[in-house]
Formats: sequence, structure tokens, C-alpha cells
Amino acid sequence: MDIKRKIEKEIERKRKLIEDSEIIMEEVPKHLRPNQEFVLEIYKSQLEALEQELMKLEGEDKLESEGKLKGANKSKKEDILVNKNKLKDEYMDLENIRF
Amino acid sequence: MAIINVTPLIDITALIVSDDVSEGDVLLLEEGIYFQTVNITKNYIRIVAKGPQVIFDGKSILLTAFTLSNVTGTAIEGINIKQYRANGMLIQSGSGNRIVNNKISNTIGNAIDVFGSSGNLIWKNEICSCSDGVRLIQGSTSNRVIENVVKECFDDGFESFLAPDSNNAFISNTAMRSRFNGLDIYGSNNLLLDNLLIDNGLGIIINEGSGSVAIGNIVKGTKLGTHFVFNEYTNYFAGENNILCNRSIGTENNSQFGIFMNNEIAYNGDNGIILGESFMANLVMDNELVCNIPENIVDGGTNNNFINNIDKPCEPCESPSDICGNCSYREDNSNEELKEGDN
Repeated sequence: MDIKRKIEKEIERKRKLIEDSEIIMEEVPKHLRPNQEFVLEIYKSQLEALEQELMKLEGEDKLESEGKLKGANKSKKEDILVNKNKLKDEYMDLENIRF
Repeated sequence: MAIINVTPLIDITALIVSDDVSEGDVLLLEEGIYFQTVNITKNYIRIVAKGPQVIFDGKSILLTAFTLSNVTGTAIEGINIKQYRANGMLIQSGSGNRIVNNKISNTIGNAIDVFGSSGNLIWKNEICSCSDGVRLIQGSTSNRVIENVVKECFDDGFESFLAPDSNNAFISNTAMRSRFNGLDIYGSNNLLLDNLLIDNGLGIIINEGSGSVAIGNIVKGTKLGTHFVFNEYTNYFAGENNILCNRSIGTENNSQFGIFMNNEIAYNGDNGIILGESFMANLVMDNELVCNIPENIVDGGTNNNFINNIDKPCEPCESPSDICGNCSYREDNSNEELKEGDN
């Protein structure tokens, strides 16, 4: 899978987990909340680390598009990755169809 | 050092933080249902199940069963974990922890997530219906993932997430019926040894890095792709892998300076081995390619060396489906059955 897309997907997933957890926190018995909040803080720090990773990649892409970074094979590689992703997405769609 | 008996009524996190527990102590968990998240922040704590019915049930409310944060030498053994909203086990910035013989099922996130951690052992765990079975991410290195069984996960069986996740070993694991990859391996110098990958979406993916080694893996019954090495990957070694009865190409390789030897690639529903345009300066030697349709070998690359490969077309009136139709996989004795078949 395309590295940028892979990180984006993970960020999306983590964001959703954090949002949902903050809502569900009210259903958690009070005496269990501190431990959940501890874990939630870890997920937030993970999200931050992933966002930084993505920003770094986007910065590299920008440099590359300006011709400052070498990436001879990259476009071809991305084509293959995109095709693989499409294949996966199509497969997922098929999986979701119930006859 | 002491052995401390623990019941489901005890807040284990608080117990660990307290002065009653010291490094090296064993928390011996009585059987019962535990509704809690255990955050371990002290080194060398050993959490051991007293019997098979030590169950951690998150009831789809709690995030993780066990969080190991910045710790070394923790052991978690013999616990049943189910229905947590994030991970069964999360190792965050930890090292040398031992996750052994646990059963993890029905987590929305990954069963075991290793984030920025090194030198951990993940051994003999049984995982079912999670996102990834075991995932190494954010610079997780030198971890040992051995003899785990992952079934019916809705993402990958085993994953090292990106290039910084390197020098890990995946040995004798089983991944069955994962929706996507059996082994999704990014990074350098990872070892994939004797793993069994059956009926997954894809088999082995190698990407971003150099020097990984795949030996003795069995890949069967994949649907989307089987053994895929992306371009710019260098010095990959694949030896004695059995790639049989997959729906698509046996091995699709776009890497450079790799070695492919003694692999058996047979009865796949597409070409046996495809060497892509950017596949160059590889050695392809002593492989046995049998009845892959339409071709056993398709070389679109440059400067590759082929030595002594067996290239057998299908017998008259033979097709992969004739052979693979009888390859239906039996869960209980799969390993034994396949390994006996090899001899």
C-alpha cells in the first residue's frame, strides 16, 4: 500500500478511536476511568507521532515535486501500489455484498 | 520477590503501583472474569494465569486489557482476552517484554500492538477476529514473533508497518483467512521463517527496505496476490518457500539484487513467477515451477540470471483446479498434513 495512504488510514482509524472513546468514557464506571484515560493519552501521543510522520512525508513529496529530491522509480512504484489498492478496494466491495 | 494471589475484584494497576509489588514479583491470577484495564508501569512484573479460565472481558467498553508503557521484562502468560475496543495488548516504548500463550479475540483494533518497542517476545498466542493479529509500528525493532496462530482477522495476520520497523523475526506462525495479508512486511532485515499462510487475501508482501529473508514459508489459497516484492527493495532472499494453489501470480517481483532459490511454485491460477520491468540483477536458481497458468516464468526485467530452474508445464488435461480442488484445508491438523506432504 502507498506509504502516505497507509499512514493516513492509520491516522483516520486512531482519530475515530479517540473520538469514540471520549464519548464512551461516560459509560465507563467511574472507578475504571483513570486507567482508560491513561490509555487514551497514549493513543493521543501515537496519533501525534503519526501526524508528524505524515507531515515529514508530505514535506519530502513537496521537495520532490520541486525537483530537489531524487525519486527515479517512484511514479511507477506508486502506480503499482495504487493498482494493488484498487484491487483490495474492489475485493472489499465484493466481500460486502450479501446474496 | 514474591508470588501475590490476585482475584477479579482487585484493581491490578493500583496493586502494581503500590509498594506491595516489587520488580520480579509474580501476580498469580485466580480464575474468573476481570473487567478492567491493567496499565503496567513497573519493570519485571510477571502476570500469570492460575488456570485456563482467567478471562479479561472489556465488554466493548474498555480500551485495552494490558498496556505496557515504558517497561522492560514484563511477562503476561495464559490470559483469555476478549471484546476490547482497541487492543488486547499494547506495548508502548517497551523492551524485552514477554507475551506468551494468551488467547485474544474480538478486539476492534489489533490483538497485539507493538509501538516504538524493541526486543519483545510474542510467543504461542492464539488470536481470532481482530484487526491485525500482531502489528509492529513506529520503529519497532528486533522483536520475536514466534508460533502464534492468527485466524480470521479483518486486516493482516502479521504486520511490520513501515521502513523503520526492521530486524524483526516472524517464525513458525500461522495466519489463516485474514482479509488482507498473511505477512505484510515493510522494513529491512526482517526474517520470515517457516510460517504457514492459508486462505488469506494476500500472502507475503515485502516493501520499503532491503535485506529481508523468507525461508520455508508455505503460502496457499490466497485470493488477491501471493508473494509480492515491491520495486526499490534490494537484496531480498527467498528460499525453499512453497507457493501452491493460489488464485493469482505465484511470485511477483519488482526488486533488485535479490536471490530466489529452491522455491516450489506450483498450481497457481496465474503465472508462476513474474519478474517486472524494474526487476534486475537477481539470481533465480533451482526453483521448481509446475503447472502455473499461463506461464511458469515471465521475465520482463534486465540482467537477471537463471540457473537450473525446473519449468514443467501442466500435464495433458491437468489444471491447477484439479490439484488444488483436493487441497481444501483442514483446520485441526493443517501443519502436520502440509509438512507430511513435503516429505
